[in-house]
Amino acid sequence: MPSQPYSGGNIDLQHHVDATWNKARATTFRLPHSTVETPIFMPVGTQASVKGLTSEQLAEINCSIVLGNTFHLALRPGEDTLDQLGGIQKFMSWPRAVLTDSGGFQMVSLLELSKLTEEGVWFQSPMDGKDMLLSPERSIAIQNKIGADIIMALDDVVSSTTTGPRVEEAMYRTIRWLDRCWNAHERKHDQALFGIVQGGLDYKWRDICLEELVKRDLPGYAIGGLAGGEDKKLFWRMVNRCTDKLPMNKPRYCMGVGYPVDLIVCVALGADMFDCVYPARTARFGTALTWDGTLKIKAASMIRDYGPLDKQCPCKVCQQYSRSFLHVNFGRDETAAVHLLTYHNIAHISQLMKQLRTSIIDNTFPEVVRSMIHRYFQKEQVPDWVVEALEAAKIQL
Amino acid sequence: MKWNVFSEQDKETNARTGFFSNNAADKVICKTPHCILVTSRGSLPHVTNDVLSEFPCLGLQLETFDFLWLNSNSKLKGSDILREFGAGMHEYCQLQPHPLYLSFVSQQQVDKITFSAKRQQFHAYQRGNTITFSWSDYLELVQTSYCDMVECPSVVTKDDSKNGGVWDSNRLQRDCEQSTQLQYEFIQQWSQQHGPSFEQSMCIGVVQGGMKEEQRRRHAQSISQLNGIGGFYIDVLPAKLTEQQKLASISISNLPPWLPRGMEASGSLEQVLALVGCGVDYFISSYPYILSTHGYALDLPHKNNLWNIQYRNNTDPLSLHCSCPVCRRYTRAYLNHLLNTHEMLAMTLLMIHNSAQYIQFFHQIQQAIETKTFGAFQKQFLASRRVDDS
Repeated sequence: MPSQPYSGGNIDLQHHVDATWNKARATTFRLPHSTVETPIFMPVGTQASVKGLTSEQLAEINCSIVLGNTFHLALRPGEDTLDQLGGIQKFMSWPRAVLTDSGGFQMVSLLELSKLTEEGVWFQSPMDGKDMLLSPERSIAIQNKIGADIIMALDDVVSSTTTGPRVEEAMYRTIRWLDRCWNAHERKHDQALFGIVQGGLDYKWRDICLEELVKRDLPGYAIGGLAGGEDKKLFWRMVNRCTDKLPMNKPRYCMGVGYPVDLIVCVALGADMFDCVYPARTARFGTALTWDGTLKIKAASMIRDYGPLDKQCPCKVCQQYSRSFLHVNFGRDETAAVHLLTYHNIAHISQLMKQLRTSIIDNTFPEVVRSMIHRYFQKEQVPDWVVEALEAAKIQL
Repeated sequence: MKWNVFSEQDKETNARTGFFSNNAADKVICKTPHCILVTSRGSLPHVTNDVLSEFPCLGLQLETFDFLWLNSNSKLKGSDILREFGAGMHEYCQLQPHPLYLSFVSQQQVDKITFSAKRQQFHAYQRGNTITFSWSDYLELVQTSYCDMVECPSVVTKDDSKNGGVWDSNRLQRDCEQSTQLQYEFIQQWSQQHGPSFEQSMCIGVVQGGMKEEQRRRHAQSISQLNGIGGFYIDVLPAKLTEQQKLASISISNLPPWLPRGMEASGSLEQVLALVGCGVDYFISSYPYILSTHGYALDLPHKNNLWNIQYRNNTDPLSLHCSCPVCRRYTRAYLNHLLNTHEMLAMTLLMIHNSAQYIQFFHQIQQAIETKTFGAFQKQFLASRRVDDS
């Protein structure tokens, strides 16, 4: 295994730490299609579309980067089509930045249909049933063609609840694959390759992975293998360990995190970027995110509630619609309410990140975090893990 | 809301233009012939109001059954909610710029509606269920919703298939007479109570008569004589286009020419042209929705099915001659992908585009009538359609 920094023609993200409060950071970096201010939430557009929202609507809610998925995009429309049509940004008429996930996560989610070898992962194509290999080289070749601003190295993902030697194996394989990804990467000048820290819930494996990845001096780093149903007390400790050891001058992307409270904790622990299907998915089930916790739009009490989803929310939905109308309009697949709730939820998370950023810059971060947490948990006790994690981040609730 | 004739009638056909305007400000709201699109619980399917802002003249239809009761146990009336909310449907549904049309009960939703004079109740039969509501339930909804156009209540009986598809003349006559009586009483009661005046909400008389010519003539004449009516809805059951044209023409020839007349027309662009030629002014339609659900994008005069693999790499906009928000940004290739991956955005974008093209189609009709070239327009349009277009 090489232990030297990767060299040669790397993209310069012009990463700048704008302000810090203990471990929490407000940073700025530049991507070919947009400047990203962190902390930031990236809505998930798995198949080149964020559930029912137009690109104009995404821009309205201050979204500067969305996530696509290599595995899905390679199946449909196919990387060659995307390449021919000028890349994913042009294809989905999204002038800002895109990040593509490597397809590693599908190993967990589609495990039964795949076979893992050192060469890569063999999938049975859901389209035509043919065997297809997703190797590090293939993943990068596809991502080079898709043309996202940030691409992810293919990692060997194990479920976060897995223990034993499989975790160690996956961690080492992730490092070996990272080197193969780097060697295969043909657009180092305009696509930032992020490596993913694996190692399960074990400090030892995380530390080895971190050390190896940091040596390679990548454009950015991701914390992977978490947010998959593991004990939250272990979750935050792993995030904390990673952010302790990741370099200050590189973006840190905490994968799969999107519950408001998790986001606040992870920002306090020093992570910069996040993605999750939660805000959009929960909207489709009729749940709105508010500063006072979640709101079930289907609840009978909504029908005579003429206020907005969230009184403090400046989004277009809250400025116009009553909870009553959203309740009446929701319920059939075909109505606008699903789109309105999706819009609001992503806008809410976007505002949450913006407020955290502003408070880091204004040096009011602990007060803002305290007030947010107390509002989210008005009716219940703040979970122990949140208290502990924030204490570790030097914030007393 | 009022309507005025704008152009003189087309020489070859009965096509004409006109305009709906706001009574108070005398502001033109929309020109006719025009469409009124069918909504589902107060929104166009998959379309949020922001993307409709470019089409302020687009009329939207609201369905009485969507708002009569707002919960499943039929205890909470839509009219009570609107009263508490403190404003009408425009504000409640956030559809302020659009003319709103309240349908009594559309035939797509029910098999038949009867009225019991003794109990003063309607019974709507819908796929095995019976929905019962009182006379005043509907009147209250009308008075609180402040829609621009409101249909009078009527009874509806579909062609009785047990009877071998033959209309029972006596029954039809009874139904028509009852409908006339209901509409008369509705207008009386509306005018005596608080709520929007006939100037604010145009009262739409429902003209029926089944497939019987004589019955149509008589019913059109009797509805025309009701005071307070501001426009007509010609209730024609789905039938062959030539049959529809014939029935529409009979009704229209017995209606006062200074009032607007509307019909349901979700079938095809040919249907719209034929009925415009009969003198129909507005069309209640879910045509853009039907096209969108099947993956079609209008490219006037054609329609293209974007599911088709030929669009996979096609970087053209949905239509080269369309300036809608979708055509300004998105390609056929992207829509083909969204359809293939069953993404919700496909329906949103197709609905916006197809609505825009449909509106454009009505603009073309208006222009053709005003330049006295409607006949030529119709001929050329039909000639240019491909076999698979209609």
